[in-house]
Amino acid sequence: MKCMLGKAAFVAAAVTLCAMPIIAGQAPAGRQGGAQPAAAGPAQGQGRGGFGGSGDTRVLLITKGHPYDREPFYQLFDQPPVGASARWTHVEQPAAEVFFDPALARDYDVFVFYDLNGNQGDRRHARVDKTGKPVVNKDGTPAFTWDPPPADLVANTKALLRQGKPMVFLHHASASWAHSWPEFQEVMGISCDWGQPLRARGVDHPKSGFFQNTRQRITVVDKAHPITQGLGDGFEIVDESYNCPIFEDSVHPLLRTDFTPKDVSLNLNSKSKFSNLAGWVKTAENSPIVYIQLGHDRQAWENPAFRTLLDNAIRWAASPDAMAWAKKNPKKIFKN
Amino acid sequence: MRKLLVFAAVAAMAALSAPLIAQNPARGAGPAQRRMAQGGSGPIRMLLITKAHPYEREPYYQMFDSMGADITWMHVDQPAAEAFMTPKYANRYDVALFYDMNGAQQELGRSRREPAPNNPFYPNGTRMVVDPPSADLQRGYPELLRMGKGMVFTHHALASWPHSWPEYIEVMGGACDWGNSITTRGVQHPNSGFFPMTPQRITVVDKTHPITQGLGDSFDIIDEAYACPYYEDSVTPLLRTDFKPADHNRNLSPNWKYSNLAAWVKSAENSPVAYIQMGHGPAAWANEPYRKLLLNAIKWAASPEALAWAKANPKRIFKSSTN
Repeated sequence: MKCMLGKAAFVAAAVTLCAMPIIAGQAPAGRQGGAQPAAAGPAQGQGRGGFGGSGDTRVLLITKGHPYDREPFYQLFDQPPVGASARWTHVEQPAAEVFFDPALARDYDVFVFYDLNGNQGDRRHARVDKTGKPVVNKDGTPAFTWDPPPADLVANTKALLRQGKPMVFLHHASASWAHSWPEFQEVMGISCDWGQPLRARGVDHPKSGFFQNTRQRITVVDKAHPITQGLGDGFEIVDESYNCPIFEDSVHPLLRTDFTPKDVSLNLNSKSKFSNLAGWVKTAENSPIVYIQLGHDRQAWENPAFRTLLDNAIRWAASPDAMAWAKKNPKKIFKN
Repeated sequence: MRKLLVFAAVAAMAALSAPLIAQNPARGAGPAQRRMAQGGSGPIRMLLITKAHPYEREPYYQMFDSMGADITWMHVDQPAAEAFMTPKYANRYDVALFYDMNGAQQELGRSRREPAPNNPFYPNGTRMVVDPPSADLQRGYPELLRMGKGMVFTHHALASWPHSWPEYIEVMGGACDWGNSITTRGVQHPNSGFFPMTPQRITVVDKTHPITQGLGDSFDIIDEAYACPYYEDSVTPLLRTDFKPADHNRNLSPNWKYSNLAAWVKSAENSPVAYIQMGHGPAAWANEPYRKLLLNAIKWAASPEALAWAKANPKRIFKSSTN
């Protein structure tokens, strides 16, 4: 971040040079009484990352709804390669919903989702029977109903996807709107809920599976795609795996994991097949969409292959090539 | 530690009946110290606005998490936060807390430098030229203030828009720029002063105000102090520091008196506004009186009483309703 104010520029430069955000909080002593003008301080080189990134791709980074280890996650976006190609603006849900308005979305090249939206306390209600007694799911968990998405969010999402806004969904974002907005599942190509049974494409599933700290081999299944460049045949990673309904027939596979859950039917309808997809691209209306299953914690975020993958995904989604590809291969999701 | 942290957050979410999250605990994590859920779950919905000045993120966010019984906070970086400065989205939050430094971001093409040779105010021979705020912001922000939305400005937020939006300075009650000369109310000042890690005694000068409750007569803090032009005649003082800059004229015009204010309230149109000078880093954020002060300010700015006070004592700042 090259800042016009001397003090901020100095501190930002310290962050960049030292890559130690702890310094960001405390300007060093010995500069009392006012900093030198920005031009006199150490300049931050373009493309080196930094607080908020320093690249050209304007990312709206959307989180909230699932806790995560915040600082190392933000550093993933500060530091190269992502922080060198992207400049990110963080917006938490539900505030981020505002930016689906195409007029406000214009300021961002790509949306990156690490949220879990639609499941907030005021949008989820305990289900009761006619006598007012709480309803319990087959697995013993209390049953809920979920509010549908707000009408303006639906209208704006439709408009935004028809304009072709690129979107990258990461990891637990696959659980957004799992119960009350089937079109959103179709946008992503997946639906998860690790706490409640769910219905996807009319098929009932038990609650989804999550398998933390899973040592996996990820295999590249499309070596020609821009997103897999630099990954070779594949890579090793320790990360949380899922067992969720994935719409294999609607996506273009990029990566597969060698992880297989021991008991598939614990988390999927007995007639459904486990999908080992770990990354894909697809279109939604005219938008290029990426989903990357990986990314639970710093074991993934600090994995160089994951960093390359994420950087590739953001750069590809925001590229004219991806947008042209999506327009040529549109997928109609919304009815009207 | 990381896992414990995540587990604690997850456990707290579970306690708040978030079944989905509750099913997703970190494997092998043992009982941990209780930490509030990320984002809080209290009744006051707070928009936390940052960007353009770096800060230590995690301890800063944990401070707000610790207020989670009173507030639910949503983080929005600038310039995205500008979208919320309009009545259209005002119903999405109760109070806005500013820890940003908005207005002159070079990377957004909002400012540039032009030659200013042989002028003691511009020692490197250039001065900064900053664009005015966008038409949307100029339209929406005054309307938001007329609605009476509560706002808390903290620390370096006082350096937002010092060059191209004088009304914004009037909203806050002061202005800073530590890297450039600024002109406020017609007086030109040198670069503002910042004095990191300054041990200070903060004295409560209005013991009856809701924001100072629980602070006693005074408290000690180690934090960054400023020498910036404050509009003493437009604010209600709450706190003063015993810090005094050694060289007044280095940061302030000889025609301007240094103010040792450390916190104040004021109205801006119909909005209750609080400014707290302190809050640079973890040393301040870990200070119990500081946390109390900040939470008091958030609660006050979001309260019906503060709105009623501001409406009874409105301060007209923007010229017309179509401004």
